[in-house]
Amino acid sequence: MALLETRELAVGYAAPRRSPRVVAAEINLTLGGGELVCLMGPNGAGKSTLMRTIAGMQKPLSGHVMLAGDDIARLTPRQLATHLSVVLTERPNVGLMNGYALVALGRYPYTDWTGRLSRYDEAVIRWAVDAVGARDLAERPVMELSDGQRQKLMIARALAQESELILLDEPTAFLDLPRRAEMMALLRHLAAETQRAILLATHDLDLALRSADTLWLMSGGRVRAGAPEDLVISGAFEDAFCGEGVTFNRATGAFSVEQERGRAVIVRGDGIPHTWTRRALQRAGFMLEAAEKLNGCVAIPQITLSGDEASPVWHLHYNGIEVTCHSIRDLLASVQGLGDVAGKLAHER
Amino acid sequence: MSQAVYRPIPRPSDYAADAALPRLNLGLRPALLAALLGGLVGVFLLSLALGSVRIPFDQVIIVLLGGEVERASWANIVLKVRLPKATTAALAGAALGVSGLLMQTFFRNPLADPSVLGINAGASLGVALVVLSAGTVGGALLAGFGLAGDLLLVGAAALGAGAAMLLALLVASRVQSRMTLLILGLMISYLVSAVVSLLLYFTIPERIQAYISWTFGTFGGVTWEQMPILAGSVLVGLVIALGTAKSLNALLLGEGYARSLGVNLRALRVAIISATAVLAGAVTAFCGPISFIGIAAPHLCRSLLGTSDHRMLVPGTVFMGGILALAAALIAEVPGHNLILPLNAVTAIIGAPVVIAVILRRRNLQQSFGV
Repeated sequence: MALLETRELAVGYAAPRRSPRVVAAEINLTLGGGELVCLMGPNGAGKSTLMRTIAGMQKPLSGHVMLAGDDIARLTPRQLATHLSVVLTERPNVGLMNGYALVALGRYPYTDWTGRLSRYDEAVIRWAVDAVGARDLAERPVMELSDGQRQKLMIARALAQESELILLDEPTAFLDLPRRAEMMALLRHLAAETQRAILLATHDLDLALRSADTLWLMSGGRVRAGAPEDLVISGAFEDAFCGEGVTFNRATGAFSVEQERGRAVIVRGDGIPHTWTRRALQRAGFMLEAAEKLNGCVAIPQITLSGDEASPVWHLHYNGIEVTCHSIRDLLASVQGLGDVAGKLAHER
Repeated sequence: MSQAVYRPIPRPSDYAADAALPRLNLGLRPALLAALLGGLVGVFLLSLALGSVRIPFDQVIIVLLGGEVERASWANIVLKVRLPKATTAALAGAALGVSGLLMQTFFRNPLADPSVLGINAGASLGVALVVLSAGTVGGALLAGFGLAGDLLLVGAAALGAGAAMLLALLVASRVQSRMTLLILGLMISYLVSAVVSLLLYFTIPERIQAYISWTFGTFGGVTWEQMPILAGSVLVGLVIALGTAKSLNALLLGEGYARSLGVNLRALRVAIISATAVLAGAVTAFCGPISFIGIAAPHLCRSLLGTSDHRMLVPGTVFMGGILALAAALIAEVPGHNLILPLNAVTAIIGAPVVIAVILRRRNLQQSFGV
């Protein structure tokens, strides 16, 4: 049986004396233990609304959210807290608290009114702190920690809640790239090794494509579920995200901003300098052509790489002119300068 | 990239609930709490010994234990004047400190104090109506300012505070947003102050004097007969506050997180507002609008105890508030003289520099609040 199941769920905002604003409807999704699901969609598609509805923070317009077979609308806040924990985008400033005290808040649903921790509670807290690799942070004041360290502790707090389902809203939003990759790897491990179901809303396309077992793609009031690769192949990704001026490259799995087709250039070479030269030229709006297209046409600038990988040299040939460049910055300036010359020549003719 | 992530993640079963392990270090320091309690007892005894007449410490202790002292007047002074006054001050300080703490955590605002709910304003209006507009009936009673006049003032203040409290509760149970509640409380305060101003404008100077002297605040107006009412209200408020301590900790994470941890926000909101209203309402009714302690005690307490855990802060502010109130009352008496300064002036004149000194020395007051 699926841990989380939505049945004919419609989410949105009900306002008195007005018809409700439906953000998304006919949502039928399932999520099982050990699974990492990324919820993606363009801004304003309703990701947060869906997350809030699943978390029980917002009432569904219609339909049901079933958690381990129970409708969450029928669970008390405390019962819900034992099944579901959340890590939100907001970064609370908790004042004078050390890491352990912050993680210990996750035991809220299990302790008595005094909040006293039993030996078992303490064992769970130790485990949660170790599971996110934050033992060295646990006795430090939370206010001295960085965003990433704090985020780790917030995830540990969610783990300490011992819920089967963990919801995370943009958990990587404030982290640098290596820390994002680390966080996603951590979440994958947690899902797999503790058999928890993890649902995270993210804009991080690249990491989601690499890490998610399943992708929930939200756009136009519908949610499509599937393996990330299936959604790429079927074109669902383009449908969801692509609007004016943005294209999704199915081959590379990346979005790019459409530009006017620029001047053609040809690049010869290999290795890392070759890859980055191509990227730089694409960024500058040039269109990379295959060398076979040349056919003796000298009107297309040609770039040939030489030298070793650490200090490459670029040779630019165009119309009998040859320029040697020692950095990509120089190369770009030279190639763009050619454009002006060519333009002028054309004008003079 | 850290290698730590790729280490296998431990399983909960690897962590036995082993009694041999040291308890988790949550950064709590109960010893400091005990020291605060010691300080409260010390200031309490000091305020029994000092005053216009200085009574030796050992004699104070003998009086308290019911023994015979050198001079019979000492027993009278201690038991009939200073003991009720010190008890009132300790209760009022505790009540104001805790209600200030509740408001600061609830509104996540370091400037919040019990007056933000408009309870002070409500009590002021009640008193102002009685003192300023009592034309025929009340005027005769107030003319002599006897016991009946005092009781009338207490009654009027309690009614006003109660009305404001009911309004706050009504709003709190309907309105979701804390910000709305905060702004509403402020608006009610402004409105009420304006009405009081109008009343002052149209009243004769003698009555204004009576009103102004109520706004100075005093701990000396509570008799032993009235004490059970004050003590009972404060006790009820403190018990509710202590009961919410665990949920207040969860509330530090914000309402979204608190709800996800299983906090019943609506019940918590009603509990916090009722506790604050009972605490601040009772104190304002009996002692007048005492400012400053409600704002200062929680900040000093967080800074000294070095924690935001409300299971420490609630008892901490009880002691700290008591210490502040007793110290202010002691200074207002100007030991050795017959002069008595207005209490509200003393709390701020002495208190503000103390708080400033603590802020400058410890530099963690703002961080400790976490804004």
